[in-house]
Amino acid sequence: MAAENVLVTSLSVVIIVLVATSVICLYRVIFGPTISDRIVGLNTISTKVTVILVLLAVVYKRDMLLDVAIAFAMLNITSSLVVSKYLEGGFYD
Amino acid sequence: MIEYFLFLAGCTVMVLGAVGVIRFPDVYTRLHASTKCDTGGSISILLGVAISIGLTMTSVKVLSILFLIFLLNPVASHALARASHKYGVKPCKMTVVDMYD
Repeated sequence: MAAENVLVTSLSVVIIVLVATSVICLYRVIFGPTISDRIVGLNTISTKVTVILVLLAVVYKRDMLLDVAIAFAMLNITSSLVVSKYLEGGFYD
Repeated sequence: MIEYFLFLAGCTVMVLGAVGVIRFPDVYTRLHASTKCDTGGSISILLGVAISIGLTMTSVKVLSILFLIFLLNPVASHALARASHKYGVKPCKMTVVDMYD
């Protein structure tokens, strides 16, 4: 039981660190000079949120959150690719 | 015991990546910081989670998320760097050579 408790405490510390770094990256989303800077910040935050969802699924023992994390990872990649294709302009052959 | 070291390494790398995203002068250097630190930190933390819960269905799902991040995050960063170069975002003044012109 003690080992379980140590694991939950360390996972909570990791979640707190990830939320703090997400808030740091939010500066780049708000004050970024160009569009690309904002997308870089959003991509970073989305990857951190995926990891946070996995950790919450382990802490609260909800397996449903893992499926949400898989869908969120795919959505993150797709949104980055769509925005970069919009920035690039033109069409691929 | 090894999972706590993996958590510590992942948290350190994540904090360094966030500092790089704040402090670097340029889109490309920020991508350089964010991609590698984000992917490496995520892989380290998720590997620690998968080790700590043993071999179950949950850890298989965690490893599949790890594989997804490992495979797709560099693709998005590469596409974003290429698109921002074609969009006309200039590198910073300290850049020595830009061979993609």
